[in-house]
Amino acid sequence: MQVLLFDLGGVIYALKLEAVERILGLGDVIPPASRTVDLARFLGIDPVAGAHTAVLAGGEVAVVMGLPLGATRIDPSWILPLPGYMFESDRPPFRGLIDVPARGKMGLQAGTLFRTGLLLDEQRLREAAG
Amino acid sequence: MTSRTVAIELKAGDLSVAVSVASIRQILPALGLMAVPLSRPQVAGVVARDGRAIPVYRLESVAGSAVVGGPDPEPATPVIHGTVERLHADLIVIVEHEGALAGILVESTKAVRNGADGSARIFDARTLLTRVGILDGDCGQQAAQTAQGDS
Repeated sequence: MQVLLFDLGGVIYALKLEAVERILGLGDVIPPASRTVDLARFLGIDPVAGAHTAVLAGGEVAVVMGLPLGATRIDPSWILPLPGYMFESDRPPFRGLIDVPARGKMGLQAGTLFRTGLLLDEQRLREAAG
Repeated sequence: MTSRTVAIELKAGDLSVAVSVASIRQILPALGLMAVPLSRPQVAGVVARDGRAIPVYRLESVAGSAVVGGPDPEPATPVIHGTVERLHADLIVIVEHEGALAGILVESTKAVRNGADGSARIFDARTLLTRVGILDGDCGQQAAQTAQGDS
């Protein structure tokens, strides 16, 4: 499985690459027909300057995500389900915790070493888009 | 007569809880703890261990009386007596009951050896997991199955 990785508030998040149509640069205009979800606001964390936007497949939803780190391939066995009881909501927006085995540590842009991250559920983001 | 460790005292700030050795699966450095947005207030984060994502709770969630979503906890935080020795600081203590796992974030742990004052209360993992709402007091087994990875 290929995922798009990005940094938001010092935490690495991921989206399935097949769920992303394109990434908008800082100066690019969000397609007017798209509904937007600001991920930082949605997750209740501080926004970051220079956040990029990912347009999800289909073009109806744009996610203001964070700072892109690149795309990489992960093994589905590295995705560990997060227990539902640890969340306030019945439907948290995560598919799971990505835990890369020690032997599989990945180097990304700017020397980032990818070891753990949170894989987002793109369907929940679509639902959250205003 | 040699003494043996019967419990581990978990400490964070002024709080302390004694947990039976049999309930403790691992004690880890807190380095791998990852905060997860939108999690319940008592959740400090999550740690990956042995192919599972294990929620880690603050000690006050276990020792205190205000547990969101859980059954009425027992009020007393046990007072520890007996021979103790300092082991670590800034740790995650993983407790287990019938496959259900939870981590507890602590500043330090101490071994409690037998010969301690018999009035000291020692908690088991079932009690702790019930306090944080992982196990239902009446349906522990069912909740434990849910806790084994279903999100």
